[in-house]
Amino acid sequence: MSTLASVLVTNGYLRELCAAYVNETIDRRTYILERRRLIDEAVAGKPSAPPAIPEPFEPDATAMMDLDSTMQLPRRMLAEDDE
Amino acid sequence: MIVSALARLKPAANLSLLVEFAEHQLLAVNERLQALSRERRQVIGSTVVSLLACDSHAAFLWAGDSRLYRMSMGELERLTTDHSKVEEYVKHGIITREEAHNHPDGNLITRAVGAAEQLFLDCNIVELNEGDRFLLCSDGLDKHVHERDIATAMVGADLPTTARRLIDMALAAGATDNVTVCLVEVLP
Repeated sequence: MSTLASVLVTNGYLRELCAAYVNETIDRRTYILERRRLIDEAVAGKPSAPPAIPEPFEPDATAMMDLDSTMQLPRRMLAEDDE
Repeated sequence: MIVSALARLKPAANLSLLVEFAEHQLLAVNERLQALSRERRQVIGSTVVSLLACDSHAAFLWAGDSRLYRMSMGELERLTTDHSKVEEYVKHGIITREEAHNHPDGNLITRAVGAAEQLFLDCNIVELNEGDRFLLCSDGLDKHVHERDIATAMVGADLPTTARRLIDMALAAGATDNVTVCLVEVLP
């Protein structure tokens, strides 16, 4: 037995695309259009670009809150709390 | 129901269209089985694997643990990945591939036609070469016959004899579930 990589002609892109559809990273329309492109390119012997799958959202590090500064309360409010 | 839906497929202009037609048929069967399940208040489902050939390439669609193998140049390759709990255990490194064989959770599948409102079919494509043999089978075969024995049985005989040989091997090994075997050979 060997692994399947040697005989498949889409560099794993089709499986990647199927997984993205199952995980709801892409919608059905994108899935069908991208699948069509990958199959057509593979049959034509053209090298394929990876499927258009959006990266999972990660907040931009520069947009993160500075927790130290958000916790600063005006002196007057702090004084009221003491009372 | 699945077999008759796929039997209604007509030759398509290209492989991607053929995949779309086949997927459409299987999604329709999924809807019908879902309706039947609701009516009878029980899950009615089936695994599926299909091979769709068009000129020099073939696409394959599958859901569940029915498998597609390719015998090429004397080497057997499994082209599908099971949608099963055991496959997930292997993927996450919980058990080895060898331990997966005869695992107690071997019957737990994660996808099947009719099992859920939305059916997700996996898909891939392979190039066809003269002399290649493809084996499509239900888990009744691979749960009881080791892949190295499948490989041995796949050479040296015509397709009907090979199919009979594979089924006999599964039955002799104690298969009680259905053993379905379909063989395809690429001719010149």
